[in-house]
Amino acid sequence: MARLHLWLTDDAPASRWQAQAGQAFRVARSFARSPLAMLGALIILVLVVTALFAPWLAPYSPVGQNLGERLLPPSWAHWMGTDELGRDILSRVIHGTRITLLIVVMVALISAPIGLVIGAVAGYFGGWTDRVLMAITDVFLSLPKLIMALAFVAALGAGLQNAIIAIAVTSWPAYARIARAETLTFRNSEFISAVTLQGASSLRVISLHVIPLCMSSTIIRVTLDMAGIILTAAGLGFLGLGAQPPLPEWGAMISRGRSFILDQWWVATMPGFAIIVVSLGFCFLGDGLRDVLDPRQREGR
Amino acid sequence: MSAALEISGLSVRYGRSTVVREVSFSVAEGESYALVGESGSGKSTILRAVVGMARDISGTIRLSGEALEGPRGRGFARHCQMVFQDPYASLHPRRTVDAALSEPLVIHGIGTRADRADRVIEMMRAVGLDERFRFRFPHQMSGGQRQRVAIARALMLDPKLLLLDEPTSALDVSVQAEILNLLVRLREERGLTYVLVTHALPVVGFMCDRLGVLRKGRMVEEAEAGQLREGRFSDPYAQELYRFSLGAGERQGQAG
Repeated sequence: MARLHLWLTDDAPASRWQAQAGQAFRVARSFARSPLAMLGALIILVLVVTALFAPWLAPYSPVGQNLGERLLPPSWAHWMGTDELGRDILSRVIHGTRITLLIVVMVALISAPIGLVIGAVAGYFGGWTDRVLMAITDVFLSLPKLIMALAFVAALGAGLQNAIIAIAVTSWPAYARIARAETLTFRNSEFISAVTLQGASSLRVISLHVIPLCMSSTIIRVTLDMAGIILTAAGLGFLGLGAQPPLPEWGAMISRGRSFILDQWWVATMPGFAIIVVSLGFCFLGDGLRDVLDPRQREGR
Repeated sequence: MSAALEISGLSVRYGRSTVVREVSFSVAEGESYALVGESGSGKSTILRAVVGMARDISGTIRLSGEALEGPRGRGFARHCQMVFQDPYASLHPRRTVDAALSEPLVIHGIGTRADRADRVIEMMRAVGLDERFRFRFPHQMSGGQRQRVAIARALMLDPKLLLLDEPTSALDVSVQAEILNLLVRLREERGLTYVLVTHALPVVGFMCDRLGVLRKGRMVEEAEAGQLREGRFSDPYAQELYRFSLGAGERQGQAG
């Protein structure tokens, strides 16, 4: 352990790999100093583990109906109670983590790279390229996310896949804006000029020099946006345009529980609670990441 | 033999203002030429025009007899490199020394991975950097060390002509002398041609053969280094510039 620590903090790394690991270690160490960030990371870790082991963790089947046990309040047998078809809500919430995680990860994987590339290209080339790309971005930005997602789902048809596509389509413009702004701050700096002078192509400059520098702000923004993505997905689910029954999607579960929210409060509350906890987890994590990754706070280190 | 760099009638405009007006000079192969002037005199702009970073230019720039036009290609990169003023801004903050130095070789497809590692280490030695700096990030190094990396990077492609844009002005005085000595030694070892931009006459006296004095974008006088040491300038502005840096010049002359 002590040797690993020495290896990571060596001021004369012996390989590229050790230098990267040392850098990651320094980031991780300052990340660990923030309790809220650690709480966020813990929540997300629990979410991931739950999603991975859902079938083993859930006490009942998420779709198995038992009409004899309809709308039971929380008890030792059913920790979160049962819904109108006698399904165990805890099991459904546990299985719902898979859907939530799938949506969040897929949206991030689709929209962040698109936004990053468009923003970096616009910022790097400037001029007409910039104007055209940013005009397109602004068109997307000008519409409220949920409304536009609704329009896309309405056009593509309801379903989990289409919900993911719709949310991804609505969330890339923010990343494009951030990447462009970030690129503009250093596009005329000397280290970019130096590499251009060495004969590097624009493709090389953008992919190896510009994008890595936009990465941290994009990662921060994506993490902070995850809460919003979850809420949008839940919103689509609530309106019946996201995951279709009997999939245990949290938004759809709230929507089912709406009809008896006054008499059987737990049906709508439990998935809502899960949404809040996971959203908060992503917010804390994003805040913590911002504190350690933000270049403005790394200056001079 | 044609001059390493020949500039004739060069004018550069930024938007509506003309920054460089009708400047002509030529630098012989192996020579060290200085462009001197106060800030805003257009001296850095001339270098930017040579490397193609200034767009709106007129006049001709010849590199070893060949006129330069349009975007500078890879051939240009292997012939001419530039060292920038601020070593804090000229190195990518997220790339190690090794990555910065091997990049030019990768771009030009030179050598295998092992070859490139050898050349990086060799170049680090040549600029007086210990091998243990190889995998450090810029923020783990001092200004002088960074400037050594920047010089090493410029030399990786073995260029003939090196453009130096105030290479020491962002550094501490004690480090300045080290970097200047390094530049002088590298020129002798590698037979480089230097075009140095500076506002410090002592630096010129220390490492240049000839100089051109710029004022408000015009070349007001060209002189030999000998003239500079004796302060024999014909142009009143050049004399004034000399008088202002006189004391510093003598000290530097003794140190060198």
